[in-house]
Amino acid sequence: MMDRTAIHAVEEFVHAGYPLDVEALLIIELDGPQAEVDHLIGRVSAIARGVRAATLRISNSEEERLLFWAGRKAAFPAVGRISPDYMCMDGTIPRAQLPRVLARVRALSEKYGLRVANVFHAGDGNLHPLILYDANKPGELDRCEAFGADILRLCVEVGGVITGEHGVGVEKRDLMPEMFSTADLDQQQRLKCAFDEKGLLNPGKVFPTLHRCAELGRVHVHAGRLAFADLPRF
Amino acid sequence: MTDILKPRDHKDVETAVQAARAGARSLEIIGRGTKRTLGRPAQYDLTLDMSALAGVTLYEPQELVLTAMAGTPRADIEALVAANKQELAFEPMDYGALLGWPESRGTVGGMLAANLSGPRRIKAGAARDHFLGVTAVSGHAETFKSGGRVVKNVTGYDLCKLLAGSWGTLAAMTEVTIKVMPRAETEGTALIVGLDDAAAVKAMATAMGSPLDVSAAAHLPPVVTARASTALPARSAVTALRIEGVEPSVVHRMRSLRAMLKPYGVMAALGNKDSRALWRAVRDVEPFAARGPAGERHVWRISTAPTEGAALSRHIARHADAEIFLDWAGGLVWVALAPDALAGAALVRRAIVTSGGHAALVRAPAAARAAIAGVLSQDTALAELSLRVKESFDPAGILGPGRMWAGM
Repeated sequence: MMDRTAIHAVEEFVHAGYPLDVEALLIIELDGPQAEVDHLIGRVSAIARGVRAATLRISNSEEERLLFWAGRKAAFPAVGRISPDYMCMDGTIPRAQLPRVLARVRALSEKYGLRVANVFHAGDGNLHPLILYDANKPGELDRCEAFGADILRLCVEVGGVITGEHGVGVEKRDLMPEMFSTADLDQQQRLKCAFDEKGLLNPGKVFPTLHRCAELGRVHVHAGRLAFADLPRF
Repeated sequence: MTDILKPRDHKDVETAVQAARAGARSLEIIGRGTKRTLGRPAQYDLTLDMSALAGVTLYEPQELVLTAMAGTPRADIEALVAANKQELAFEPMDYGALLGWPESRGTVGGMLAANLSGPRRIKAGAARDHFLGVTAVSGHAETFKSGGRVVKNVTGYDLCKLLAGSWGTLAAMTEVTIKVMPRAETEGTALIVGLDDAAAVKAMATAMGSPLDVSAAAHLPPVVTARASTALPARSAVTALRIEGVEPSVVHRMRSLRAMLKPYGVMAALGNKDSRALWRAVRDVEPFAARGPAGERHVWRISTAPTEGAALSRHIARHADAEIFLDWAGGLVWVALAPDALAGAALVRRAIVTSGGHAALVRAPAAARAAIAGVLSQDTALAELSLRVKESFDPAGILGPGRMWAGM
């Protein structure tokens, strides 16, 4: 799925023939033997008509199928053409929350004064808002990161998660408490210790607070309070 | 005498585990106890009966997601999703027939704790692969949650994957979220009649390697064929391959599959109704049902590489009075041995040393099950890691000690 900003950016770039007077575009691929695909195209078309899609196009050749996808697959570079920099976010929400979340992202876009293009895996609710900014303008990167964090908090608020496929390294580490309590994170860190007792593997990633393995066995942590908040991070 | 605790809510579970931890008392976690006689028998100070924690808390058919309290009967969940033309795609087996219970007695928590699966595992995975989120109480007597309610999620460590198949030895699950999927509109099964195990494994590998999206592949030797389904040719070995989907696709793929497998032998087919009944019987291992002709036999479940299924079966059959059939294209070997369990264990161990894989004694008298250290496998490094994982959840060893392995 792509929203209006993304559609316009990619259409100017790859000329896939996407309609420009729509708010969102959905690409649905079906695969299998010919008999199955023909049957399912009919059923999906009926669903699309049932929800009053403004445009419905069906590829009639491999060439046309690839053209439909060319825009989606070139979405990131296309957005790179219309903005000096962009940051790709990654969160997942329950599908039914899409309209609500996209509306809120738009409101956040106005609040932060930064444009956003949405390109994502609609089938599993995995969002990839691309936040457009200019790293040469003082403060824009910070605003972009704050905007991104707000989007991820929104994902959690509607029942989703802060990463669907990119994972948690350093950038999202401090957002982990949005989803997990101290007890949740302690149990994850104890498990890490079962595999990596000396903390040799990517220390400082995934978890907002570093623990030595020996601590986790005995330290009691009160809900909501980060233990050892003064431990150095690196 | 074992005290039975029957928590009514999450808080009760936390309190029970806290008490067990404080008093250094061991705790057995059960749903409705249907799998208690499966695997290692053990004795505990307390039984935590989770069956009162029941009820579906969220079911959104359009989101393909369901959340339920861990003690919810799986039959309730299966009926609920079936009413929306959905199912649990991992096709969880029901141990009822094997262990002598009425069918569908278990709970959703037990289903996940035992990581159940069925014939479709070769295509859709096991319970573990459909387990999205959990709230549980660890052996630290701490409540934790993991995962969520969306399918695509890589936030932090996915503890659900560990709890699946942990048999109540890591934590007491109180609420679980699973993925549900649309049920296939129809299905058919292609049959090849009269193959020996080796030829059947080759035929199943051919079918699985094709683009025809075969969703189940089993081989039944003559001794078990009639017990699986009366619609099968009697007194013949039958190799069965299932195709599921929308009608035009099933028709097309069944035709292609039969054409492809013709060189292997005489072909036949089952329509939707007989196909469903056959795979239900294969799923629940009905040929070795407690109330059937193999009811006295000891039943082993052996998982190996599909291409080893025939060799492993041959090894066992050569040295013992064994009834055997293959599921998962040869990768799951169900073995019913004439009752002499200790000798059976040595034989099964030799077979998996040669072929690779692991084995569990599913049905046998308690004394025979107690004599076996746990799941038979060869991997000592994995066993050590398992012990450290166990300690990370339950350092005092109060949750189901000895349930999976002796001394753990």
